[in-house]
Amino acid sequence: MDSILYFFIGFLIMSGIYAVFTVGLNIHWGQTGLFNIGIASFFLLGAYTAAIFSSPSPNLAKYEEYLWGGNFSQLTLLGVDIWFPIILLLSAFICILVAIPLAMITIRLKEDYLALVTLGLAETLRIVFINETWLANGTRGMYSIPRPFDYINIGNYDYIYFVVVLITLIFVYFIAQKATNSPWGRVLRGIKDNENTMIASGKNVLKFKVEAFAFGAGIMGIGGALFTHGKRFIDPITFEPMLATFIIWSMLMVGGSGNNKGAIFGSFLMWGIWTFTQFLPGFLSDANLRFVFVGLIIVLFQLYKPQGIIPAK
Amino acid sequence: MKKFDLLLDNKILSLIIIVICLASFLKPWLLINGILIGSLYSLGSIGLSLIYGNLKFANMAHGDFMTLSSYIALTLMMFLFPNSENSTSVGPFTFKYELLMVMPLAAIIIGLMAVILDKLIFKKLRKLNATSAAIALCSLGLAVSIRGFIQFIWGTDSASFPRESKLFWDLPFRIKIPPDMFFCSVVAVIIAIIFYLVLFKTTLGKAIRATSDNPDLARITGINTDRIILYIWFIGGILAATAGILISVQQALITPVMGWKILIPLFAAVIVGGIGNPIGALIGGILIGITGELATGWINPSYKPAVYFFVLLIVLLLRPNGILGNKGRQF
Amino acid sequence: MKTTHPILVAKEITAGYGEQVIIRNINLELYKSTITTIIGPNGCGKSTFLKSISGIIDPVEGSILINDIEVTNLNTFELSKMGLGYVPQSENIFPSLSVIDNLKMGGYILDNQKYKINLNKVLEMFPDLKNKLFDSASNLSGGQRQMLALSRALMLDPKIIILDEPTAGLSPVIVDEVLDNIIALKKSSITVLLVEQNAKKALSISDNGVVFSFGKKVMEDDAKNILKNKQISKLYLGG
Repeated sequence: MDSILYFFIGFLIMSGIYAVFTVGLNIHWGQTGLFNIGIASFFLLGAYTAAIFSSPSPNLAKYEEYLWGGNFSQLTLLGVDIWFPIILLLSAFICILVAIPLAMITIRLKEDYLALVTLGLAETLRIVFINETWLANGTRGMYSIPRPFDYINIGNYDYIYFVVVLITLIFVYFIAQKATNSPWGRVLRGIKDNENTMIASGKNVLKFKVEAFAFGAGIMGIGGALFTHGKRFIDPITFEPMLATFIIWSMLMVGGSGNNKGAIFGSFLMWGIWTFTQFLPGFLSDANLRFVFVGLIIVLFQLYKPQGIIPAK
Repeated sequence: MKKFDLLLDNKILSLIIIVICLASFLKPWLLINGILIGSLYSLGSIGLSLIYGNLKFANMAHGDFMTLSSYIALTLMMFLFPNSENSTSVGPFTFKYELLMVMPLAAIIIGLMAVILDKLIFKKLRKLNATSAAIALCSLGLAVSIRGFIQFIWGTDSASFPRESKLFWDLPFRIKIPPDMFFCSVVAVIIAIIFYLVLFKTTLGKAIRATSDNPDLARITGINTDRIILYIWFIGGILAATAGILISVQQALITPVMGWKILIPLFAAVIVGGIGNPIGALIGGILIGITGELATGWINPSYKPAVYFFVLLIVLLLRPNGILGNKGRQF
Repeated sequence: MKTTHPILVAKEITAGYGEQVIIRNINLELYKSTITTIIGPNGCGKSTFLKSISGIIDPVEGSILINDIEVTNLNTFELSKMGLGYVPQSENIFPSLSVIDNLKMGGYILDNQKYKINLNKVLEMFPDLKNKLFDSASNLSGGQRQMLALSRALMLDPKIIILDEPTAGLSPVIVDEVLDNIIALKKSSITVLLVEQNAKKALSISDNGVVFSFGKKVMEDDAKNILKNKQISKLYLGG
């Protein structure tokens, strides 16, 4: 019974983390119509920022090659791990820092060109982190990443981390909703629906798109940081497009493109299917069939239900 | 402001050209490699350009068409010619005669598959007036599905066609040319010329371009635009299949991600040459190849994908309509 | 000039786009070798009417007969086999193709012999195209484009040609050229129906005039009478 519960909590944690990514993608695509198929870029940047800043200094005896570990995990205030929210914000900040110049250069491009650029960027970042081992240990990855709040003793640590993820997700949902329902958010929706009208009414569309891109990227960065501290091991293979970009797209397509609730719902649904199909009998549990399934979800929902299961109001 | 932009534009382009020429002079074997590898990219990008230009969307599944054709060709070869391991290879090339027999079969299968996919998926998207981005997204889902399918059937390990090792051709200036690559380059040039002729000199080609210009008007004149679109898919599929198999031959490897991995340089080649222009795709592919290979003379070769990415980015920012003075994108 | 039997009859045509009905109960008869011009303010349904009898949109109610044969719901291509040619207002040529390839597409369904015959006929009617055959259609001037668009439709030997604002956006001199082309059509025994903003000039070459307003036909008469009509003059012909 215990192991089932343990498994279920693990599922909830990952779903929650993916939900954060999906909300970020919703800001990009659902809200503003930005065709970002390089989610992995911000996932990676957020994850590695968290890893580098929170890990202790490299231990040469263990052949660790990275140059610098921030050791933030030693930052506590009155015994409370305040370093964790700081890391989250730092990850968001780094992503925003990268997103803004990137957006300023590329936001003029037509959507499918933007897609290609984001795709290329994700692959380029992966290669950089593979080759520049001084950054984050290259292919050997960063491991033994510290856990926040692990001094709370209630038996299974995963319960604690689940609460951490939940609180972060609620926070992200809250600010995303605020943004979505604000006048700023309405402009974004206007840009997605009819960009020319927006331009005609005098709005600086490019500025809004850059802001939306940065905002979504920041959220994805937070997701990356959550992932790092959840998995406690990351390497460049973690950020391969299947689980770092495409599955997130399927989550948004299924759940409801254009609304944050749908994004979260889609994450839990798709991650549930991804996780629980491994218990199907025989060849049905083959991991590659899940790839096929994710792809088919994107295709079928685009064809028949482009608004997803929970349509935007 | 506009004049300044143009000036800066041309300064950057001239700089790039000068750098490329300098690098070629310093390490000419890289230039030759680049031309050869580039022609492989050309093969892949001609089909991609056809679909991008005439069906008006970026087909993200193109790479996976290429991968699938290689696996299908391999299976056909194992099935129809189980003794091909022991047969003779063609001339100075590593591949066997059986491959040449299997290649058209695989190409037709992929062509038909592309046609079926249009009927099942893309036609419906056109009826819904889906945007180019929405269709591209759908093709992305398709790409993922095809790759999953390939891995499901053939596993994730790599494979290769039955082959016989052959010597490179040794030339002065440290230039070594694998005969296979030379063969593929020649095929690429021939195919590009054939497609240029088809598009510009045959009635079908003109009907394709007419449908691409103005489908409503084309319909008025009696062109069966639905059928023309099927032709475009069929031809695109055949081109992708041929490219995929030849690339597998050249690199002596078939992997499930081989097509996906070259998607960025393929798109870069298409855009450099002007979307929809087969000769442009040929030239674009070769330019991309040259740039990639020359770069490895000075930076870590594993950064080649990053180089392709930068080329793509620069082209999109400076010359999104390609370097051949295209009329530009109309969608 | 009027023969006893109309070549095209539009009966009680009601049509629109989706839920919105634009024109109601339009009746019109076209007689062989005549030019009919429809005038009226913007948005009154002139274009919609043309589209409804050219197979672009299906009428919600009413029927269309060509030589007494019901053709109401046929599409444009099927209508061209019945002898009806349609030239849309804009985007009426293939800019990527050369002039001769545009004509080739116009005659796409013809066999080689018929194509050559019709090509010659068309080039006889519009000899200006002869020395531009291999130019790209996108390099043509406005007036030449209209000529090409018209020629494209003529490749299928239409007995009736429907033109939507053929002089739109053209300078006055070119407008006259286009109208001369239309007169040439009539001389080849082709029946012409056109919608025009250049109302005065168009009516002056027409046999019949029709006035539309708010989706209904409000007047139909000999073109010269409409030109003389003071009220119409003030409203639609610029005084």
